[in-house]
Order: sequence, then C-alpha cells, then structure tokens
Amino acid sequence: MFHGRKRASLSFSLFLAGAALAIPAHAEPPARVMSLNVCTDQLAMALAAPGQLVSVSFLARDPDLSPLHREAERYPVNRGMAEDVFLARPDLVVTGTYTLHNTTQLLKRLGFRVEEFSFVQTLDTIPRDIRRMGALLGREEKAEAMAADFEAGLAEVEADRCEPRPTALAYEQNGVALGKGTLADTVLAAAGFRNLAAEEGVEGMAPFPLELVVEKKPDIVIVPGGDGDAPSLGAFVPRHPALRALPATRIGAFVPRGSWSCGGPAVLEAVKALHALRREIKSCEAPPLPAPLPLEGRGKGWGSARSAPKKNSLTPCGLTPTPNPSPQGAGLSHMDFEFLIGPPPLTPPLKGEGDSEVSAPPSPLRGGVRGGGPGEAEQRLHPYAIALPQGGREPVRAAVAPPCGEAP
Amino acid sequence: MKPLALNLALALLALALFLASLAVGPAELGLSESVRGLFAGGGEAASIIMREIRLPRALLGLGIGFTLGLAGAVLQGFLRNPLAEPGIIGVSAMAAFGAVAVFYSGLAGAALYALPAGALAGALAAVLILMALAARNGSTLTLILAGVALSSLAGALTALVLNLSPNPFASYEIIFWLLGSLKDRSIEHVWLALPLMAAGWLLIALSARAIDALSLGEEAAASLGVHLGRTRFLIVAGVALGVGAATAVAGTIGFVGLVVPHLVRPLTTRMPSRLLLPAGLGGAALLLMADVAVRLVLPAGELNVGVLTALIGAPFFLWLVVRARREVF
Repeated sequence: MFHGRKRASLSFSLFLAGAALAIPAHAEPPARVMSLNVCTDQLAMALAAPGQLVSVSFLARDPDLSPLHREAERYPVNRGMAEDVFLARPDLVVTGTYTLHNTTQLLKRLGFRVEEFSFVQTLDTIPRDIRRMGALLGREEKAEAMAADFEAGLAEVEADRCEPRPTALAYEQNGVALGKGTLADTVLAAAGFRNLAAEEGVEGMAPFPLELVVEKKPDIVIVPGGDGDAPSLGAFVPRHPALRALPATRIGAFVPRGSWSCGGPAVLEAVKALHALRREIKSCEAPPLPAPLPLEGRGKGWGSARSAPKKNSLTPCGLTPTPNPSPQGAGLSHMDFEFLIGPPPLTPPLKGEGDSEVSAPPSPLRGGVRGGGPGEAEQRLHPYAIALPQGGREPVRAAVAPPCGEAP
Repeated sequence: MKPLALNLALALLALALFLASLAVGPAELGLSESVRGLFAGGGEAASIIMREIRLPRALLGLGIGFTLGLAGAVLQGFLRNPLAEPGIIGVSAMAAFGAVAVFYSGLAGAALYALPAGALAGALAAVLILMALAARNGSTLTLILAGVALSSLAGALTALVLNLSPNPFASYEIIFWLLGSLKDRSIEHVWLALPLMAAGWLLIALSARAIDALSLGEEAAASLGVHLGRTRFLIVAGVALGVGAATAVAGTIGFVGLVVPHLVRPLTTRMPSRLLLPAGLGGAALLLMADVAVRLVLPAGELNVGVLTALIGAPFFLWLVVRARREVF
C-alpha cells in the first residue's frame, strides 16, 4: 500500500544520514511543530506536548494508513503544501524523505527548519525513529518510555518464536508482494513466519505472479483489509479465485487495519496479531511427520484433522499456559532478558505506549483490530500434516532467544 | 484459397496458439502436468493454475480476438472504409470510459458485473454517433476524424474519472483501460464477457448477406431487398455488444480489428460476408499470439498486450494511410 511506495526507492543510508543530523537534546524544544507525512504524524501525535503540534497531514485521518486516525481528528490537517507551512509559520517541520521532496527543498530555502525521517523502515528503525522524534520535540522521556516499551514488546514476541516457521505472503493490490527490505518482511520474521516473497527474491515491492503464489502455496496470504470505499481493479487480484482455491492457505487481512502501513509503535500490533496467528496455525516443534500425505487428501475434509496433532506436550514452546516462561529465559544472558520475564506474553497490547498526557480517546489503535481472529476473512482450517520445508534464513535478531526446542 | 480451407487453416492456427497460451506462464509446469491439471480435479497447484488462471486467460484471448477481428471486418464492409476499426473509430475508448464511469464511481458497489453494463452503454453511444455522422457523409476522412475526436474525449474522461476516485490506486489503472491486458483474469470474467460477445457474433452474422449487397451502394442494396434499418440495427448492436463486453474485461486492445481483415482479405473472394469468419479466427490467432509474446518478453513485469498490438498495428495503419493516399490522389 502507501507505505511501500514511500519505502520503495529509498536506501537505508538516507536514514543514517538523517539520524546523524538530529539536534542536540538540550536545545529549546520547538513550540510549533507541523507534520507533513502520515508516518511522522503518528510519531508526532504520540509524543508531542499539548498544543505543540500545529497540524498533521490529511492522510492522518485515513484509517487504512494511519493507526492514530481518531487522534488525528483533534488536529487541523494540512495537504503538505509549502503554502500551508508558510501560513502556519512552524518552528519545526517534520516530514518523510521521499514524499513531497520538492516541498522540502522549497521550505529549506525559505529558512524553515525541516527534519526528514526516512521511511525505509524495518522493525529496527522504529525505536530509533521514536527516540529521534522525542529528541526533536523535547520529549525525550516519553519517547524513551515508548521506544523501550516497543523493544520490550517486540523482544517478548520474538522470544516466543519457534520452528517450524510457516510461509507467509503479504500480497497487495495488483498482485504486488512485499519482499526483502520492507517493514512487512521484518514483521513476518519477528512473528515467526518465513516471507515467501523474500525467499523468491523479491526486493522491496515487486509484482509477484499469481501462478507462483499458487505454485508455492504459502500457509497464509495477507491481503489488504477493508474493502475501502472506492473500488479498484487492482483489489481483485489478491481475491482471485485461484487463491481461494488453495485448500490449505489462509487468506485474510490478519493485521489490524493500518497497523503496519507506517513504522511506528502500532507495528507491534501487527507483530502480535501475526504471532498469535502463527501459534494458531502450527504447533511448535511438531513431531516429525512420516511423509507428506497425498495431495488428493487435502480437500475440504481436512478441517477435522485440526483437533489432532497441534498440542505437543513434549516441548510446548511458547504455548505454556503459565505466563512466565522461565525455561526460555534460562539460556539468556542477554540484556533483553528482563523483557522476557516481564508481563505475560500476548496480553492485549494497546496501552503502555507511555502516553499519559495525550489523553487518547478510548483506543485509537484498535480501530479495526481483531486481525487474525477467526472469521476475519475467508478462513480455512489448516491441515497440520503437510510437510514443512525447513531451512530458510534465520529471522532477524534470532540471538535474543534460542529456538524453542533448544531450551532445557 | 477455398473458403473452407482458409477457415480451417485459421482455426487450426488459433487452436495452436490457444494451446500455446495455456502452456506459457511463470509457473513452470511440464506438459503432462499441465494436461493433467487441466482435466483432472483436486486442489493441486497445477490444476488451480491451469483452470483458474491460464484457461480463463486463453479463453478470453480467443473470444476477444475473435470479437475484435469480426468487428473490424464488419465495420470495414458496412462503412465501406478500409480504416474502420473499433479502436480507431473510438468504440473501444468509449466502452472503456463507460466501464470506468460505472465501476469507479461505485454506482454498483465493487461488483464486476457493473463493468459490462457501462461498457455496453459506452460502445453503443459511440457506434450511434459514428453511424449518424457516417450516414450523412460517407467519406473516409469524416469517420476517422470523428473517431479521433471520440477517442480523445473518451480517454480524457476516463482519466478524469480515475483521478477523481478516492482510491489512490485507481489512477494507475488508466494503463489497463488505455492499453488493455489479459493478466490475472479469472473465470468470472469469462462468464461475464463470453455470452455477450457470442450474442454480438450472432447479430453480426445475421447481417452478413446485407453487407454483401451494401458493397454495391445503399440504393442498389435497397433494390435487392435489403432492409437498411434492420441491417444497421444488427451491426450497431452486434459491435456494441461484442466490443463492449471485450473492453469491459480486458481494456482497450487496439488495431487487431484493423490489421486482421486486411491480412486475410487477399485470401478470400473479397465478398465482405466471406471475410467475417476468417477475420474473427485471424483476430483470435493474433491476440493469442500477442498475449503469449508479452508473457515471454517480460515474464515478471508483463507488458500490457495492448502495447504489443499497437506496436504491430500502428505502423500498419500508417502504411494503409499512405496506400490510400496514393490510390485517392
């Protein structure tokens, strides 16, 4: 979707360049801040002091792109035009490096202070972006708390990953897949999936032929949620009958609406939703299966197989009913250790972004949540008996926790 | 060449290209695997790929190519104009605009069946406007100029509707509507378009005898007992149905209807009615060939098939113009 276009043609080095320019923390915090980009909107709305944020971009009110779209109703919106900025006379403009590049140049020439955030984003860049925005707004403490919460939540989910990792495909409008280097790729890895597109060599966003999706039979296909209000032909591709005909593939939105369109705190919602889905479709350390069952057997009747093999009583990786997975922590001398014995895994997230002052409306992040829950879209029970391809790349940050099976 | 032999040869060519279309795609399926996938059931990947992806595509290539070739032949015969073709005279462009207007404005929700309804209305409007113009003034130039104006207008209106759509992806889809494609069509599209196109073929076939008589001029034809009003209705309705349905599911695919009748005409008795079937079969073969080629040239990105037909057809069109000038002046 949108996020991908922003991400698409940027290189990571741009982000590093931008980070190096961050202002010293002791500077006077800007009194009037304007955000021109839907992704900086998220960070600015979450971190700004009351009255500090003058306006956000108009896209901040779009629930498909903006997790904080309800919050955004409380701010005036701008269209990202230089004229908007000129009239508002902000002390600081925050925007993305890719969108509105001409506007940015113009504003700099006019003497405005413009801070650009790269939106080549992965899970690793998010805490950095949060801290940087905090530093820019003079809200370091709050940003630190939010970033730490994010890292803790992420580490908790990542510690809970296990083999085998099912394959997933993030399939967007017109059959475009999210491949290596995208935020979605890191989210899938963190949630314990293998990204089919990345394994097939897709870099960034690129068309992924429908035939290949059918041939590779991913375990889940994540399609754009919400019909949107306006039709487009591209929206038909992820809903092509050929995908629906795959007997063992689950197709759905799965991630909360808008949660991974920007690299912000809300991405954790997507990680958690996908992690819950991953637990639902495959048990950890499934006992070795004799042989793949004949393909003919994979018709509709397979739903009933569901009750059989998933609970592996030997090494219940991550599925421990007790919230305190001490066996996993035992092998860790890592600084992330504290996160692992923190709150029980997968408690509904939401709060805890450290926003005590923003007086958020009930739950802006939960707009259309419930991703991954049954009944979200076309659901199929997963036949557990399919042979699982092993190998593939190690997920990012695998060092945080050993694979579940290795825990004592 | 004997009509039967010609039709048989073209039908075999179209069939061969139809099978080639079934065999080409990014998933590398072996021959036996494809055949088994096509005819055996089950949820196997090969079967899904063959039945849900490649078969609809090949069927649409066959049906749309036949429609465009036939429409070109009947329009050239009826209007006595060698340059008449649904794409050039603006029928396809108007059909695309009609489909776009109905679909993207959300009039019928996001339902696929809204597309042919809009496209038929657009194509019908275009044919009626052109008939009104061409009936008064039979010159080649008037018709082509009117077609150019109609095409530009329809293209601009299409762009307008797509830009006004609140869906940010809609405006990218103008490429599909201006330079059609058969990519990622499903069997739903086949059911949507094929019956309408078949009805169009039938209506055009019914007008065959009349257009033979019309080649002698309208008065002569009337004296031979041809009912002009009826003929006009059959052709207008037939072309609108066929081109409308084709455009609704595949966008504007130009020049097939122009090139094919000229290619096969020398092989026929030059009676307009004898041209219809060969032109349809030739159109099917040409479109299938182009659609196979776009999948081979750029397997990943995949070129729009309309780009290829335009690359073939536009130089041909220029050559026809040059030749026509030499003959007229």
